[in-house]
Amino acid sequence: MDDSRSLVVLAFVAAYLAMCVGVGVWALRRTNSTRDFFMAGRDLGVMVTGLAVFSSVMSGFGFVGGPGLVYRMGLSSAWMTVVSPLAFCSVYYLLAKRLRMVAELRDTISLPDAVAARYRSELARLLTAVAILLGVVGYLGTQILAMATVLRDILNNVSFIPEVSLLTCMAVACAVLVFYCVTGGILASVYTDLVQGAIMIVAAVFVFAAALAAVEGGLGGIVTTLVADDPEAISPWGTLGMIGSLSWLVVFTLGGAGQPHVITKLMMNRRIEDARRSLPVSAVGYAICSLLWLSIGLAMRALVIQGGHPELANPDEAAPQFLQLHAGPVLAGIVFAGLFAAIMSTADSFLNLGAAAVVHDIPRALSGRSLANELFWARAATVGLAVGSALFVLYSRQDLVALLGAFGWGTFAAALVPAVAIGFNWKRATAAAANVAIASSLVVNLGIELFGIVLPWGINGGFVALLLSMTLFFGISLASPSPALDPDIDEVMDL
Amino acid sequence: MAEPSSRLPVVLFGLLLALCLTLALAFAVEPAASGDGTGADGSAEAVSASGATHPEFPSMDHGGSGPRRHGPVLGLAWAFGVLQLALVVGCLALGVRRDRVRARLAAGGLVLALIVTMMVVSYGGYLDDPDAAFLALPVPTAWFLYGFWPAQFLVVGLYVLLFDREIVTRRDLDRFREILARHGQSGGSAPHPGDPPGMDAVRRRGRPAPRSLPLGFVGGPTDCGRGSAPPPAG
Repeated sequence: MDDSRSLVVLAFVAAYLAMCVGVGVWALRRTNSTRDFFMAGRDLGVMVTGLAVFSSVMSGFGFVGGPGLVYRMGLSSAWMTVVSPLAFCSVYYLLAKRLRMVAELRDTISLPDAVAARYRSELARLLTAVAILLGVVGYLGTQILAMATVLRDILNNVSFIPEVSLLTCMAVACAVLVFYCVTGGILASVYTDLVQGAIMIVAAVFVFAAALAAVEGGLGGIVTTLVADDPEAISPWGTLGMIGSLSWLVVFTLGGAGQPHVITKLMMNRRIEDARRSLPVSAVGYAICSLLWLSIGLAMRALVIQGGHPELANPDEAAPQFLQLHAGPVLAGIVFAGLFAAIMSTADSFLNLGAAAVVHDIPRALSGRSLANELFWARAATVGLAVGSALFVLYSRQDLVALLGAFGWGTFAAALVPAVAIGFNWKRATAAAANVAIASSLVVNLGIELFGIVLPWGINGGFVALLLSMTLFFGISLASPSPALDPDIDEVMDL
Repeated sequence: MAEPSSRLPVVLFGLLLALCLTLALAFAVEPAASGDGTGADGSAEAVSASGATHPEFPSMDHGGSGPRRHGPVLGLAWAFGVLQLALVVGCLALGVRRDRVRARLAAGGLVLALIVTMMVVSYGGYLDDPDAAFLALPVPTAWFLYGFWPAQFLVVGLYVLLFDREIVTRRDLDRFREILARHGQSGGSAPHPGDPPGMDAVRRRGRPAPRSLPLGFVGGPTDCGRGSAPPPAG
């Protein structure tokens, strides 16, 4: 990148980071209790909830990994993103009503709280918290590393700035993230999500136009090139094939209702009725961002095949290289800010969830009560988790990082869809079934990753884990007598 | 309103078992879709069911011969997709209690299943003539991106249109208010008579939370957040 271009990008990213700090300061004055810290005072409006839900889903993976997958496999990974309207429907149809009601009825401040209330089971609370914490540690670490890597690349492209190390960039990225998460808790997180969501939408629209313009003949030119090279790549199944790509369908639709960083947002909205308008905001916002995912990947694949761009060393370079060589400096600045937004909007949610698991859920499950001075410990845990995850990703074995990083979407889907998404809508579901479903999902996902098992057809491991956990959940519940529910929960589930 | 028909969970369990069976069949037939085959020009070509490294660009994958790897499993793959769609729509139906919504959801699911069917059927033709296009995309891809993608918004639209009448009705909200009033709410902020659900947040907005705001997490194992004494804030 030339210097002026790098400066424009740096200016956009710096402005974005400054905005995050500003929101942290603003939210500090509004965060007076753990209820505010973890649940935003249950006071979020329609747009905030809708955009926070979608921007939590769209992580750095969507901005970097997604285009990389399309570059590598053609349209296979479109089954992760094109199905997003059904994913948001799963979230809202299954959880916006009863989970929100239980949250208000019991004044819960975390998802495991609600699970414990639903099943009258501290073991269910503990397993839910452990599943969340395992995912948080790995996922948070990889997100912080991604932020630091991007920041280092941006800074090192500016000639008058001395060489900056990854460690320094990690410290800067961590400091901004921790500042607004510690000061403002989830309130700062969701309000930055609002801005982050808006930035991502703008970035996606402009990138889509730039991607079509980068290849001669636009969409037709891209398709002609890809068909001539490999018709399978531009078929709906991509190079992975029909069964492999279809295995993502249920994981990325129904699985949406198992993502703790997404569904806890529905426990925070001001009015249950707001869900009606939040759903279209989430679904449309994400659909627009999907254009970035698909268009960069397809355009870069076509450009490389045509000889208009050198082959990439790594598919994940598809988005950064496209921005460097095929987008204007302002657009690159917006998209890099959008990339930071995507990473941070997911990382801050995970940080908040992890802090709740550490200071609230696990102590309650083990000792029956929460820590004294919970808000102080929540802030301390937020710092500890961010720093711990950063150190973990820097200094632990990389295969261990990758292993825990893989504890993402598929594991949450397999663990929490039965216990939460189904369990809050089916009174017959038992605590034993929920516990078995969560435990089996952890064992299967960990086993697949640990032993490097490659499934036939490239079937997604998360699909197998989800299928197994749901089958066990329904089977055990149907074979058991109806469980007794607390009267208030019982009545809410009848609504 | 009572617990929904007990048949739906049984149907969902049946769908899950059918998916397990489909998956087992897919595992069993996978070797038939991989291995050495013969390319269009008569030369030997390695075929992988889930793609292989691109012969010219190692950073990309190559799908290889579509007829070779998908020919034997088109029906199985169609069943795999449609069963998953049925499972997703069935689970959505679990979230609503009214039969009218469920019927419309089923109709929406049917539309999506028909589009997936058209994707599979037109893919069969695409293997013979990959140059046929609709609005610049290959026909099966057009069904996917121009059909399946926007058609999902039918289900979004159902939620928006039927929300007040069928999903969260005024009666539901009244009943919830009664439940809140009867069973109370933790944190010492019992709902005010006449408050709509969600008023706890509205009340708090008007004033800063007291430093001793009860948070409510002191009960026994089944208390789960009710009636509690608060840790001091800050």
